[in-house]
Amino acid sequence: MLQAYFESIKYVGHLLPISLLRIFVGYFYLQQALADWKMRILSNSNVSDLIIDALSSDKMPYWYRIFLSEHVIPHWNVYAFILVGLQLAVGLSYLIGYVVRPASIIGLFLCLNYIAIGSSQQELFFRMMIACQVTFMWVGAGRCLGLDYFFYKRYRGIWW
Amino acid sequence: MMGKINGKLLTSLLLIFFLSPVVIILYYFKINLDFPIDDFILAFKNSLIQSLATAGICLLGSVLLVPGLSRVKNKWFASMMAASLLPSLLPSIFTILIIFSYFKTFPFGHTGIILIFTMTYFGFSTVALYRAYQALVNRYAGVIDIYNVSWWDRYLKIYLPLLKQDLVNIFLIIMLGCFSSLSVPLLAGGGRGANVELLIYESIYINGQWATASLVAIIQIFLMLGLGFYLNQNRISVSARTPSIIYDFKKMNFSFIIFFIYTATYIVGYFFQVVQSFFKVDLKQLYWAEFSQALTHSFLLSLFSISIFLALSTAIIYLHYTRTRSQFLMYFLLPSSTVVGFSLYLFFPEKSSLVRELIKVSLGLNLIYFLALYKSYIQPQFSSIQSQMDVCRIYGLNFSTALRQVISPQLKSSLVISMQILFLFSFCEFALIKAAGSQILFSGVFMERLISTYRLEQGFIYSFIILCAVFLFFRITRFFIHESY
Amino acid sequence: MRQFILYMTGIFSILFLLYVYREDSQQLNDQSSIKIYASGSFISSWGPGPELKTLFEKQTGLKVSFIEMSDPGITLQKVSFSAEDATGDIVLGLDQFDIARFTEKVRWKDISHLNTISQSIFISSGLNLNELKNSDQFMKFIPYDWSAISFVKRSDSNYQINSLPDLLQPNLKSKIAFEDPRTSSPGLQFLLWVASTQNEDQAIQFLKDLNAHAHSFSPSWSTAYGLFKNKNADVVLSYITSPIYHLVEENDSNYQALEFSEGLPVQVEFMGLLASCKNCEAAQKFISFVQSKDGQRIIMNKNYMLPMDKQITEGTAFDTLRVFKLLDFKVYSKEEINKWLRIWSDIRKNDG
Repeated sequence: MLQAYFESIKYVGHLLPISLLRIFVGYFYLQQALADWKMRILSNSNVSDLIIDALSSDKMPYWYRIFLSEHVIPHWNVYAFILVGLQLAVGLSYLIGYVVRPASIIGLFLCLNYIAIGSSQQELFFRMMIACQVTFMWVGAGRCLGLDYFFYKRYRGIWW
Repeated sequence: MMGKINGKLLTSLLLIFFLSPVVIILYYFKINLDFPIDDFILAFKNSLIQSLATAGICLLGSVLLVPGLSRVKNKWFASMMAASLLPSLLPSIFTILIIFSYFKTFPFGHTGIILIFTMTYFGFSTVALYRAYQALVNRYAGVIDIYNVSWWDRYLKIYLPLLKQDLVNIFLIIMLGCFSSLSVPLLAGGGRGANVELLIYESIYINGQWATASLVAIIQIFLMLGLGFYLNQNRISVSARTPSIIYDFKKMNFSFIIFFIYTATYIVGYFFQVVQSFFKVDLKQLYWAEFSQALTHSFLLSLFSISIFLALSTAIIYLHYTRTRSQFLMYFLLPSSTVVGFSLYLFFPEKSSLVRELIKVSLGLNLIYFLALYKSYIQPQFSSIQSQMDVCRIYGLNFSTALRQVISPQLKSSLVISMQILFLFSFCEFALIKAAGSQILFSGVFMERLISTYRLEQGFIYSFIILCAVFLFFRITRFFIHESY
Repeated sequence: MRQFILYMTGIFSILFLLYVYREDSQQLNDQSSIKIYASGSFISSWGPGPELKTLFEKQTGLKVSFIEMSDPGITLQKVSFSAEDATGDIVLGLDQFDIARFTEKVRWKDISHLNTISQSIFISSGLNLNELKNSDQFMKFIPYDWSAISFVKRSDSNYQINSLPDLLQPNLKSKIAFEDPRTSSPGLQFLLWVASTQNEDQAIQFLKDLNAHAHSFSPSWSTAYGLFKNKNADVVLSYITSPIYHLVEENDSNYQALEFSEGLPVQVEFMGLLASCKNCEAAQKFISFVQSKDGQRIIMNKNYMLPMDKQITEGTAFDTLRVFKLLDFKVYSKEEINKWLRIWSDIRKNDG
């Protein structure tokens, strides 16, 4: 598997720039996950305040507003845990290039959430992130400098 | 990835795992060889007498009853077989009280101990031998019928030699149970009853010599190992299970009646105590909140224990798959709950979360019971599966695929039975849990707490409720097994 | 897809374990709660632990958490290894034999200044604890409850047992359930009772005769009492407060504790404060609370042991307990205890 990791540069080298971007985005997600873990989970700070502030945003779809107020806010600690888990999963996936295509779908979903509850200044950044993740998903960015190459050689298929 | 794991490394890890309790205690304590050797010889002699006699009587009885039992089919049969396992699974105080109630003057001494042990293990040995016998009959009966071999010759000259491995395994398991019992020899033994487990107990509580206790436990293991090795010299392979051949079944015969009397003796005594308890106890005195918490924790414990059991089974199957020498692992049966429990208590932090406690206790349960369950239910299947695994390996099939598609379907029922037994132990075990200093309340500990504070009646009632819950679980998982008991 | 699901499961499992570990660390680092080692029966819902905890927390605002102690020997062994990292603050439920045998490996704080119950109160209970003053080892522990060991029989049985030799009457052969001194505290009490009331040769002979005469020597009190309740035995070695339990909980007054002319041995339970305590001041408050009237009342009603202050029993079922002749509380050394246990082991081994 390790051999395939480096071999991929030779055979799928045209994806190298995208892979480097992928690794950088993965590092970003990991950092976010660690920060959120320390701030939201370990110190038990109340995430629901943030969500309540975001409820007043006009960008948010009505059905999403109902979902947040009725399901997420009462159980904010569970959702905070899930969110950190998803960030960690996406970050690690991008970093090592493993199951990048499914992870980028999750990343897409995360970014959409951030757009909905974030401020307008952050909106451009998250749109850029969505674009990056769509690209990762389209080209299969895990195949270069990633473990996906090993599985792609053996199994082929849409997920690698 | 599994294919690349070094079999030898895995064997070493498993060896470390099974010997870890002793290693942990020896790490903390200095060995003191100053224990009286004649005490040890007397204790070992007593243990040997009690366990050999019990195992011999149980097996002899089982050997005589099993052929008759295999010709019986009625609606009570499966329930009776399941009920006959109760004495070996319930806390020993219940068995002691039930048996004592049948005697005006109980024969204390070796006789009394052997009587209680036989009552405890006879059901287990019969059920275990019955299952093994059924598998053989299904495979060979057709061929034997053609040669018109008489029933007695068939049993003595064909089936019994093929059952030798099973007989050895059952013999060893009963011996192990007798060796590791403290309450029964102490209570029923009179003066001569002192056994090795009591010696371990005395080393710990009277002399404060944990390392000596561990050493005695190791000697116990090696002596059992030697005995097992000697008995295992002429291994004969046992066939895998095949679908039943239709027989001319009877509703009842002499073997069935004898076995029914044995089971009824215990069950009637037990139910009598339960019914008496229901009448004596005020329902308000039943601590439902604590009990339901204990049940939930025991259920979680069973899940953890089963997961570890499956992981260990997979590791050993892998060793078989890669033909790594690992047979010696099968003899590291650790009988002493006190030694295992205390080593876990030393190793894990004291105050911890639910998950850590569950991991601790489930490791302890597997340390004590895994090898016994593996040898009883899974290992007998290997002789037929081994050739299939060799073929898979030769054709380049990786281990996970072979496990999923070839091995698991054949081992499924054995694994399920082992898991069911482990499930039951998770609900009834208390000696190990107490010695391990678990801070989480489990149902076995809850029962023991009741019994140790005047509340024997509540103990009986809760034991009955636990058994009902476990029985329900067995029924739910029964569809995994192709044939009934 | 399967690999992705496995990957996600792995990530969340690791995160969950980290989350749980973090809870662990928080609990362990929780300096505000007092951690108390106590037996399972003490901390169960029918024991005194929960009520003591509730009342103490209400009165002081300090948190209490219990750590179940399966056995004092095992627990103190672990505490001795953990040294300053030991988790607990207070140890409850040590009797005089546990203190003699197991406490020397552990360092204890001196809490003698917290002992609020005076000697005069002990005497009103009939309890003479003078010997505690002569023992440095016991100075670090405070008694919080006690009971005398005796034999319990059903009131409608007509056995006449007034002294230890009466136990060897022919009509009592195979009728008395004992506990084995090696594995049971009441059994050990009985062994030393015999040793203290007779000279060594007489005591050994008595034990040999008893060995052949008893119904059984159970590994624990619960097994012996179970045999008695099941009517396998007619008399059992137990506590003088056992009939009170049946009277209060079962409304059954058919049980009776027996008086002995030699006097009955007493078992006293002590509490100690570990030198490695993390919350020492709060722990000292709890120790004082246990000795208060409220604390003593709870322990008496739930533990079925007698309080240190006899006045607490007034107006309760414990007040109906007759006044027994008691032996003076004696401090045995570890060597003496082990000597008699070895004598007992030899007697048992050479039986028959």
